[in-house]
This record gives sequence, structure tokens and C-alpha cells, in this order.
Amino acid sequence: MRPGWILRLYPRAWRLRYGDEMAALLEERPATFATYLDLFLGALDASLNYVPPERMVPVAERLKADIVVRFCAFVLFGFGWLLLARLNDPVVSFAPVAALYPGLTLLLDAFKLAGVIAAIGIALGGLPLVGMAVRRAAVRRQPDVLRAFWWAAASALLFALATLAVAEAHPAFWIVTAYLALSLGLLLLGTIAVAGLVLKADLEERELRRTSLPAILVLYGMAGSLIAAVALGVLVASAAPSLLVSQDVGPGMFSVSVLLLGLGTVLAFMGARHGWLAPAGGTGTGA
Amino acid sequence: MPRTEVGRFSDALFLVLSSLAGGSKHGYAMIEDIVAFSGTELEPGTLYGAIARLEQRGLIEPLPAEERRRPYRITPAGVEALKAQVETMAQVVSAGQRRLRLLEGS
Repeated sequence: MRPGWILRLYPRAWRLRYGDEMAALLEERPATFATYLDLFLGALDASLNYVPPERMVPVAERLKADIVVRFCAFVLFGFGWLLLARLNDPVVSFAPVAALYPGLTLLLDAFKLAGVIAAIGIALGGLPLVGMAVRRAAVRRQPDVLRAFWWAAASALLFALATLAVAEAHPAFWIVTAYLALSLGLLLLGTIAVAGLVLKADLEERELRRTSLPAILVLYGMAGSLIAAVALGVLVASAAPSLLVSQDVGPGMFSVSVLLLGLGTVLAFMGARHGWLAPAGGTGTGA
Repeated sequence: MPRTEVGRFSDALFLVLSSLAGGSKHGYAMIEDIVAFSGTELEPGTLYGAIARLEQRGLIEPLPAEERRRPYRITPAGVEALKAQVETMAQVVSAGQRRLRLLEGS
């Protein structure tokens, strides 16, 4: 029996590309058990890994997509972090409990510090990249990139102004609600603008790969912050449940915060793993 | 050509690139050539797994088919990748020889 039939185990795209020449090769040499086994493993490998040329994505595009995924993951994480960071507010009710359980302050500080490290990583990796993209867009006259930049900058500025205005006073409930709605809207708009900017910008593979080291800071910061938040949750629930009533952060807000921190961290790890596996040069295998 | 990216095909990739460095060849000629210079006989599944990976990375490129056979040739990027791999192997060989001499001398 000739081994040509085993080629049917290969995916269709593979057979269209290599089927004829492989069949010709198989007709020219005697097939042994090792040949059948090798073809079987080859078919399995092709089913798992082969990407037809028309579906291949340039590595730079793939890296850009991974950077956007990591940034979106950080935004999710950051929102959760901002919610939970207010656990010690109001301080009047937090301080006596924290004096009884020093671990509370320690874990809250660790949570905040790890989050700040992640933010530093984002700034170290992202700001030079955005700066490069905007300078290049200005020189090469790319209005869509510049427009995305201005939307992102305007969102960040409005968010900062709104936060300052709310922080300086003790506003009514409806103003706080309006502030939260505005913040969410601006966050969404800013994230979309940054994602558009990165995806449309003329950035080279080597420039994009420079974000890999800061990404390690981001990932460790996010993971550390998540672990501290979970430990904090366990400690509060077991030793000081009264905090969930007295503090601004109630049980629902705490759960949502940890959920966002977890989602963001997992998404960031997935994005990073995908990006670092991108082969150097040429094209990658799928988006 | 990091091993993690290519798994069981890493040696095959090197053998195929080395074979094509000697001139363009189709699958059967590559197998014969590789046996001649390395003593390793690649099976067709492994050979075409390596060819697909090298082609995806732009290290080799197909030439027009001759009947059902399609020859391939190494690209400039393939030459660079082969050079880097050969240099690494030369360092490994050199270190291995030095250590063997030390063992035999002791």
C-alpha cells in the first residue's frame, strides 16, 4: 500500500500548497513504518500549526495587537485598582481596625505599590512609543494617527480636570454619579483612541519589541497587586468584616475590583505570551 | 532559530537550510543531499514540516514547479540565519573539543 492516502489527514490548505509535491516524493521512495508514523505526526503538526500564506500577519502588526491587548488589560486592571485603593477611606474608621491588624495596612500598601510599579511599566513602554508614533505621523502627515492622539490627550486632560474638581469639594450624590459616568466614558474613549493610534501608527518591529522589558514590570506589578488584593480580601472577610460596612468599599465594590484586577492580569499575561512568541523578522503565524 | 519556536523540526530546519545553501533543490534531492553530507535521512513528514516553517519565516522560497516537483532556494535572510546557526555550533564544537582534551589530559 502506498502512503499517499495518509496525506488526506493533512489540512486542506496544506494539501493545496504541498500535497502534489509530497505525493510525488512519496512515490519515489519506499515507505517504512517510520514513514507512516512520521507522516501521521506531520499531519498532526500541520493541523495544529500550519497557517496558509494568505492568513499570515506581519510580525509588526501582531506585536501592535499584543501591545493594544496589554494596554486594554491595564485599563481594566487600573479601574479595579482605583476602586480598591479607597479601602482606607474614611481613615477615621479604618485606622482603629488597622491598628489591631497591622497586616491590613501592609497588604494595602503592597497592593498600591505593585499597582504603581505596573503603571510605571506602562509609562516606560508606552510613552516613548506614542511619542515616536506622533512625531512620525506629524512628519508623514498621517491625520488619523494625530486625530487618535488628540482624542486620547483630550480624554486624559478632561478626566484629570474632573477628578480635581470632585476631589476639592464634597459634591452632592448626583455630581459623584455624573463624575463616575463621565470617567467611564472618557476611559473608554481614551482606550479606543490609544488603541487606534498604536494600530495605525508607522512603527517598526524593533521599536515595538522595546516594550518587552517594561511589559515585565507591568506583568509583575499587576500579578503582585492581584495577589495582595486577594490576601487583603481574605484578611478583611475573616478578621475585620466591619470594614466592608464602614468603608467606601463595600462587598460588591470589593468583588468587582478583584474581578477587574484578575481579568486585567490574565489578559495581560495572554497578550504578553502571544507577543513574545512572535518570531523575529518576516511574518508571524496568525493574529 | 530558537528551538522553542520549532520543536522537533529544529535540526531538520538546519539540515534543509544547509542543503539549500549548496543550490536550489526539490524535496527528493534534499533528502538525498542531506543523507550524503550528514548521514541523516529525513522522512517526508519532517522534511515538509521544516520546509513549511522555513517558508513562513521567509528563509527559503519556492521556485516554479517542474511537473509535480517544486524546487526551493535559500533567501538572503536564510543565509543570515544559517550563518548565525553555524557560528553557534562552531562555538559549541570548540568548547566540546577543549573540554574533551582536558578530560583526556587529566
